[in-house]
Amino acid sequence: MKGLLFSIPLALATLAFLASPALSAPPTIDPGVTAKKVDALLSQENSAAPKTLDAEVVSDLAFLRRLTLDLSGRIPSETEIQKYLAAPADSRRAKAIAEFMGNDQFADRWAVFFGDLLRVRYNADGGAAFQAFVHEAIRTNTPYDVLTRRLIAASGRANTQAETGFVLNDEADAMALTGVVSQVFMGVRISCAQCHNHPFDTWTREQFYQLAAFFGKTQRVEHRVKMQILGIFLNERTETTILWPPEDKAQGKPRTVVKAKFPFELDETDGPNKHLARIKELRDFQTAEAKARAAKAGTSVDDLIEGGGKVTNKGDLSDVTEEANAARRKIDLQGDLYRASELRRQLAEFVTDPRNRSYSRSMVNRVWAELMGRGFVNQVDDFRNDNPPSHPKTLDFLADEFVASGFDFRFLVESIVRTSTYQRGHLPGTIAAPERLAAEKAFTALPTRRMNGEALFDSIVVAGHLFKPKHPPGSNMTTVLSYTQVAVAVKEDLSKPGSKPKAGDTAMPAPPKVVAGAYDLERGIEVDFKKALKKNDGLEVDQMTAKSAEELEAEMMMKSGRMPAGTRVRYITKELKTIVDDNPQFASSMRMASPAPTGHFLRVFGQTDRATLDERRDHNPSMRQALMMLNGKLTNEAARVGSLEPVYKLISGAKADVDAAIKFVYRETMTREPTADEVADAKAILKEAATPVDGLADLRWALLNSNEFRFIP
Amino acid sequence: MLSESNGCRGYRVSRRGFVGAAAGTFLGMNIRSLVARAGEDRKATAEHVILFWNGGGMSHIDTFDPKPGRDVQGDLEPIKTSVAGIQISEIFPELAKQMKHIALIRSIAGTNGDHGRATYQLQTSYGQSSNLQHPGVGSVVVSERKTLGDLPAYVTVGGLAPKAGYLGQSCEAYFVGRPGEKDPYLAFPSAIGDVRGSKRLDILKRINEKQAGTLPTTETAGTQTALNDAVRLMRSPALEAFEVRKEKPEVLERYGDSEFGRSALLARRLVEKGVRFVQVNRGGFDVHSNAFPAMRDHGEVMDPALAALIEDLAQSGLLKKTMIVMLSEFGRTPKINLTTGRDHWPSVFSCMFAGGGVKGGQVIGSSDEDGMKPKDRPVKVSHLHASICSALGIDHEKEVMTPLQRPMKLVDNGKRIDELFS
Repeated sequence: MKGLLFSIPLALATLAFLASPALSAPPTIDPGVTAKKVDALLSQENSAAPKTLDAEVVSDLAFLRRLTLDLSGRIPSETEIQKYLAAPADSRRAKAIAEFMGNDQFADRWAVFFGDLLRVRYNADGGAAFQAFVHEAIRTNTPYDVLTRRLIAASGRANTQAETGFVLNDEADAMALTGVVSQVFMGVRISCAQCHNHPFDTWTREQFYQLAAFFGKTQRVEHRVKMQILGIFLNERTETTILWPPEDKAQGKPRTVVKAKFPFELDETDGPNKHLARIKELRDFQTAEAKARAAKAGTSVDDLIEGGGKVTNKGDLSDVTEEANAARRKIDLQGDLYRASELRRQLAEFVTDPRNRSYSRSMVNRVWAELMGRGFVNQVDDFRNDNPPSHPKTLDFLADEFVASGFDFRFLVESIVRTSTYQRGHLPGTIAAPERLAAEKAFTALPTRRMNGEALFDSIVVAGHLFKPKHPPGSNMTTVLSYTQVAVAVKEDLSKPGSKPKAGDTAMPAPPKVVAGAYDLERGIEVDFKKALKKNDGLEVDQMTAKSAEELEAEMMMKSGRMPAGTRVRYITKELKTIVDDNPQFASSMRMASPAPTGHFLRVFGQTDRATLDERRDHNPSMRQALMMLNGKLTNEAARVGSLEPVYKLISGAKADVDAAIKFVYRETMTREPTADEVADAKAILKEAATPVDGLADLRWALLNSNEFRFIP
Repeated sequence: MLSESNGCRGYRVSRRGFVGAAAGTFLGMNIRSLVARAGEDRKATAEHVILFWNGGGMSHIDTFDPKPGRDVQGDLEPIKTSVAGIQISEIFPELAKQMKHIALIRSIAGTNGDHGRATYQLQTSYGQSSNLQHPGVGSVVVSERKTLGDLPAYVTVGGLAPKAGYLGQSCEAYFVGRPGEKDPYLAFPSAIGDVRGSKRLDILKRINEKQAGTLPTTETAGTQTALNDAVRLMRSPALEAFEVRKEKPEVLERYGDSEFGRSALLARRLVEKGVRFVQVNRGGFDVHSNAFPAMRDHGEVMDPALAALIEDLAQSGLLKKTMIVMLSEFGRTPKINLTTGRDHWPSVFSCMFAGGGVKGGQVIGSSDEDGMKPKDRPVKVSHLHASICSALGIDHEKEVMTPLQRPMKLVDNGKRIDELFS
């Protein structure tokens, strides 16, 4: 028997085998200790190579800015800065790490990372629920292997079974999913082997097909009534589609069913730090604990499932009862509509098996690169023999500890931010590129990183106090022009072909989308994650047929623009003028429906549309970015000083203190005190402006636009 | 005289290029190492492209490939054009007069009847894949040809253009929502104005200079280039091109008082200022029911605009170097369905070319008697792309590297349609 199997249907079997004694305390693992060992291993591995330049440790405030950006996805506020500075110098960094690790925004920030990794798309089938699901998994710190298993093995209805979003993302296509699973979870680009043996690696086409066979019965089903899609399901067929030899090779000859086989090696030997034994101990403890809890609550053993078990909040992903019930529903009520996939369950077990080193290494490498600006293996999803890791021992140590922690994602992040390596600065711009690169490869200096779009957006919002209105109500009355499509029924007159349409060219049978007006490119739909995750009962299937055939028909006719009595629906564009109190307020970009629409701030700053596997954030600057920063509503409103924000008292009125105001703004935007020279310069700016308030806005605008603001210190 | 600046790759951070060259790969960057290829570049016959994208699948029979006397013809009659022997649909009376500039292709052999996949293929030449985002033809053009003048090299009007994929975001189209709508991002907010805005730029310059030295110039150079280009654009007199309403009323009238008319006019004005590639998007061709009144409506909107555009460009001489293309993702079923509509039909459909070296007054290829299949000279989708590239002097077989270091041809195995050109 494989060492560690804990999925739902196996829970029973596993429990029967394990007569493990209930443990009194869970095995613990300390990220601080792990971090120290990582530092030691890194310098040990570096000592074998020529010495590289060392960057200095970053200053306290630079560290705070970096840490806040990495753990909360934004710059720190003045309050956070003051709290940090009030702590004793020798412990303030550790305290800040502890605080920001526990901060709610941790989930927002890392949902962006997972959103890219898992290609979460709000508009895909069940995308909204999937986005909320991923966010919730991070919030509750669902073990990474548990999450992975749920994503790979999911079956059910899009939205209702939120995790089906992952497989449905690629229309449940077996070939696509094969490439996705190996690249996303194992950092290996096997998809080249779909059409030919991999050019620079050992993967063969046959191995690709064997892996694909796990998805051979996976099927996306549309439940339709009268052309209307009422539900999308992820189902399991009885026959596989994966046959060998491939169609292009078979040339009419008979093809045989490919037997599913996991091509990645499972390493049976335990590591030097006994990670396999340790995760077994941890999981044994968790299973025993879950069993005890179930006994106490009187639930049946059916309700036992894998996973953390530390938290039992309702709605928690590792909540035993809910998942077990969902699993039962799947079998009993909806068995016909979607069958659970035994093949994908097996695959999920293989992928997340602690002995599958590719799985743990890949995640560790990704998180390391996210925080350090460079991975041990680059690009992060290109593990292969001739692209070896720069520090194999360090990578393996961290990967093993990640396994031993029970794939605890927060443990992994904390272990990295607590290294002294993470506190290294960048080499100054004067150092020649080859030397800088050598140091960055050795992690004796860290590469400069730009904030990603979400962090930049939220940082501007924080610096400009835009999460809440900063102007009194009624002080921003503006006339807003908007365009809307209005449906008008018109009599058809076929005797007069070419009679003039009444309003421009808008007489199309489908309502054209209203084009985003003026500054909409910086707005976003905030997602109510709780609502998106609200599970409907298993009986929802019945509700889908609630609409009568006539109603559906009528709806269709409305949609096609054809009305019964010889009339047609035309859409005309109406211009609307409204006067609104445009008191600027922005929500966090990390909770927006993602990916944002094309042209949106986030997209301009590198967010991809997460459609294909090769898309990655483009961090190159562009003219469009510059235009957005120079003229956009976000930066300009962030710069404008509001009478309800703290700095206002320092710049206006009897108690005005220009020096203090300038320093305050520097701290709020740049997380540092200005130099004397900068204060003098700023004073001149304030003097030149029409009013000191305007001058302060000009200063803040320039700081937000500056290079220093964009780059993570 | 238009000044030449870098193509859309000018923002590439050189250090990344260096790292890429040294290490072969680099985290998440678009490194483009070009694979040299034997074969000569053809001389360009076109400098600009205006692509009309008709989303939804435009009926070939009801536009450029009428089947007079057949049951499939439906309500719309064919009409004569200014070129003897060529007939098009009655919905294009003005366009018919410009036939001497126009080449029609009636034998595109598509392979995809799904909107998404077919659109992807018609716009990129490649089949959709979950591994790779292929660039649209506009991105290919601006990645290979230098930017002319101050305006963005690639502009899309009234809808989104395909993505630039592995060519990188700087080769993506500049989006204009509605023709004539002032893009608020091209000027300081009105509350700030030019004077204060310029002052702000001076302050920004000082602050960035003070910070210099802490960041590698290789990192900041790209940002500076982007900033300079943005300011240059904001101050450029060429921006006037966007203000379509400055045209005389009679000109506006000729193009038709419609969004599409103004889009065509905007396209002309943009090309006059040096814009390489303009894509004008319009939907509503997915006429599953009641197809004929809908196509008449389309004609009313498109006919004056297209005709006026060709006429104006011909008169100013710009038609010689401006290629006009009108594409849709597929045609529609010759058989008229029970709701007097037509459904998706990729097996054969038509498109229109004019200008930029195109030999007008001709029809290339044909469909069979009912417009079901290509009869002669079947044209692959990628041949269209190869022909557009070729007109611009771009070697469509040139290979570029994707971020995953996979060499990809600019066009998916297309061949130039030689007879399209004079």
